[in-house]
Amino acid sequence: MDGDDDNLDATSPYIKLISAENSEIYLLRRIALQVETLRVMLEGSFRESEEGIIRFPDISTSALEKVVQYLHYKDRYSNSASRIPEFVIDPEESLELLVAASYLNC
Amino acid sequence: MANQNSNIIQLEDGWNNVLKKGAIDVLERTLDDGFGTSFEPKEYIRIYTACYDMCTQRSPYNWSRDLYIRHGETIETYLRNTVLPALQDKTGQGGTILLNEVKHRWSNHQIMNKWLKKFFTYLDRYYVKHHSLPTLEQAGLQLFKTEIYQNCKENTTSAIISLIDEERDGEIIDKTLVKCIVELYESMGMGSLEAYTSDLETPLLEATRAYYGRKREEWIAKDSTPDYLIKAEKALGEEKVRVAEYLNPASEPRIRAVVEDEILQKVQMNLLEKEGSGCSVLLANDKTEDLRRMFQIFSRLENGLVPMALIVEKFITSQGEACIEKRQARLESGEKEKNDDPEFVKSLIDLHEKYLGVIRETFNSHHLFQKALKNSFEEIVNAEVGQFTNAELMSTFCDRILKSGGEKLSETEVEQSLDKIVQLFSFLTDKDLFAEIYRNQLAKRLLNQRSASDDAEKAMIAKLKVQCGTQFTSKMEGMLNDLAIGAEQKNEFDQRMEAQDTKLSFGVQVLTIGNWPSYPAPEVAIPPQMSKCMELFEVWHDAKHTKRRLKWVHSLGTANVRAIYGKKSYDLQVTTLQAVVLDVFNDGKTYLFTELKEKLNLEDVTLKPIMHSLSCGKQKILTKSPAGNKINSTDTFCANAKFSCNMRKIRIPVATVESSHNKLRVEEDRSVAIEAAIVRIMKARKTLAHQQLVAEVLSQLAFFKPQPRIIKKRIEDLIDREYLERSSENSQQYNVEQALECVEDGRVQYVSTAMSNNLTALPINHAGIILNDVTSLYLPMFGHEPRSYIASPDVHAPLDGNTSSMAKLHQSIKDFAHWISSFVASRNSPTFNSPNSTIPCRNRRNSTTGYPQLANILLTMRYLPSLTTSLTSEYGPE
Repeated sequence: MDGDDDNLDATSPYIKLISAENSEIYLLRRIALQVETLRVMLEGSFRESEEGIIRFPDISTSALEKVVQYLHYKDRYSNSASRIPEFVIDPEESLELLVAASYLNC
Repeated sequence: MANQNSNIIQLEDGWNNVLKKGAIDVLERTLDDGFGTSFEPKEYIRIYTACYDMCTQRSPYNWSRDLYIRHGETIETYLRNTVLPALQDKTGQGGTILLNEVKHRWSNHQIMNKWLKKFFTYLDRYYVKHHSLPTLEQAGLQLFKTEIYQNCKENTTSAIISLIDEERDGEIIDKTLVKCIVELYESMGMGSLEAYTSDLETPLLEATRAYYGRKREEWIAKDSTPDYLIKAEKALGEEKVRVAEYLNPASEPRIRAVVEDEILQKVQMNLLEKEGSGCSVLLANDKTEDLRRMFQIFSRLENGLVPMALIVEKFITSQGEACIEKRQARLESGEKEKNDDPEFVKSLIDLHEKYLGVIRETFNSHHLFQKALKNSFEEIVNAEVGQFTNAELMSTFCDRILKSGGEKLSETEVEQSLDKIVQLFSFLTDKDLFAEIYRNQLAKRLLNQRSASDDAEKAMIAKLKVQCGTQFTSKMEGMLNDLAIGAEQKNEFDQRMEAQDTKLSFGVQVLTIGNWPSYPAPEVAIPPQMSKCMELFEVWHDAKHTKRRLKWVHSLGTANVRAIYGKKSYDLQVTTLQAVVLDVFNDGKTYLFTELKEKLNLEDVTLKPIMHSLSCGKQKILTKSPAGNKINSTDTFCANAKFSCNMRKIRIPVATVESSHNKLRVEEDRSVAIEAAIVRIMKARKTLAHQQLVAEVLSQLAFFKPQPRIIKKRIEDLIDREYLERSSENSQQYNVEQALECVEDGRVQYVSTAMSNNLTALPINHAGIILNDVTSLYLPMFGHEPRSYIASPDVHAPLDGNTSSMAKLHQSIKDFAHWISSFVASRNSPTFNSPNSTIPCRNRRNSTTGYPQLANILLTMRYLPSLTTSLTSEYGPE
């Protein structure tokens, strides 16, 4: 996930999430719109919708990464006819992840 | 949030520093400015995070409840302090200004509500759900309703109504504005249309009623019916468009109902009967366009077409009566009455055709109007004028078309005319009378070879068959069939005749008795030459058809006689009887009338017209003395030696006095038909009151409508002949006598006592059916084939009504009842329910299969929970 190109306007299929440690994670806009909080931010007259960059000063990189992984996993297997594999969550990180998920409402 | 324990946010701090300053104040400012609302991304995250933190801190620092209350207060304060004064300010300044302000404030509120919801969205997720409170959005709407809407709705409603009224008067209004306000009303119902209906629609309906009430008075006073209807049609169309443009679709039927009621229902009769332009005037002037509009408009109303159809019916009837009156006037002015009045029948046909067209084209063939046409024509066609019935007139009309030398029509014209006359015929009540007359005329046409075309005859009979069924035309078809067979047999017989040397050429047409009208068959002394031919035919025919008996009808025969007067010879075309008479005079003697009578073995009635035709007609073959125009029994006749004529072939017609049909015969046929109907009905019903019986008889008789008293007479006749009897309990009721009645008693007595109520309710007509009905009802319950029972007691006792077999039948029914009750007993016995009996395999199958395991269901599940839910369910709540 390198951030060499910050030109993410409303037409770009990607948005960029920035964690507390300033790590940047790219995410498909289509998938991001499935998350309640992200959708509110991306919709309407928010400038995020133009910039496509959302900062989360309170979410750690590892939690944010796991959230993004889950979003992909959910997108992949929702309405899928194939068998759904387990989404592995390390108990160590579950608390932090829970807080992040609750914050993002995803 | 990661540091929430160390860094508690106090309520007032969080509220004032972040939420109020960063979000609400900004929002209110931008609303007042009228610029679009926009928040920095960072700011939104700050606001959302602050709100999130304040709601996720542990008690006593959890501010969810306070935030929820303050969210409401914020909206309320803004509405009360900013919006309401602004609206009150505009109230006095006219409808449009107020509506514009309402629109502006309403859209502002929607923006505000949306943003506040976004800021406090975390409340919606947990606090609101846990406490079953209205969501933030609902709360915002509710506040707008109580603070603003309740205060200004009356002014707004009246402003809208006056705008709509203006539009109705043709002015152009701001429809988008009205549409926006209508949306406000719709939202204020909180998910239902209740606010819209009670606050806007109801007053609007009243206003609509008042408006169109005024218009109605105005229009009806000065406009003709067509003009009024044009305006009404326009108004109805406009109202429909109006609803589609800016009102709720649910209002459409209600507004339409009000408008229809005001401008149509209330003045329906005025419009229809308006002098100079009402429905009948339009009909009289063939105003198709106006009539069609009238039809379409009144078909909107429930039963709206009934009065219109009534007027149409009256109008057509009056037109028909005019035709009848014309005929009457002609008859009264001294025109000789004949059974032939093509002008009259033609006028009826034209009338029918015209209004059939009108109803099809203008009234869309609506059933009410078809019925009106039918009713009026039934009245017209069955109104009798003069001596000859309409049935006779119509039949004669057909005769004119079908016989050769009548009307000169092309094949298609014949076809069309027949079609039309059959349509007219369908209205006739005395169909049997028509059939009788038609049959007579058909017979005459066929026997005298005057039928113009076989195909036309067949076509006409086919049309009648379509109208009245096979029974009605079977005799006519039989007649045509006889002729066809006759033509075939003629050749065969002719060959045989050639072999015999008879000097005469001779042909016979065999008619099936019953198909043809009955003809007098005088026993006449036939000259030997002729009788020899007849004998030849009889022998030939008997050899061919052993079971048939021939009866000669000389009155229908024809003969060609060659008369030789010196050098001149003539061919006389005469009837068989005339020929027989002429044969007598071959010896040149003079005969007295009575002598002739004796010699020929003929009655006065038959002989007199023959003598008249030969001696008093245009061609005097015989000389009568004394001369005169009347035949007396004292007259004498001899051959007229001085006879001469320019033509070689001479037809000598006999005057016939017989009428075209036999009224008595029709009467007789009717009696038989009525009796048959009575017996049929009574066989089915067993017991029936007099009135019902009469009604049923009338409904069964298709070809004529007898007077009730005639039916009564037939019933009495049947009672005399012991087909029926008066019921002993009620003299107004009749029972069918004999066997069937006894069977019915048997059922009640035996079967019902044994089998409880179920059986008494069964409809039972006949002994055989009783048993089948009962067995087919009960036996499957006991798991038996119905056949196995039928074999047990002998129930097929003959129903001939004699006492011994009746007793046998009663015994059978008793046996049957006993048998059934023993079945019932065996069903309740313990062996029937014993545990050893087989359990239906359906049950067993169910228990082994069972439901799929829960795991399987979960495996095939097609949905994924949100991350929060899956975490909470796996690791438990925090």
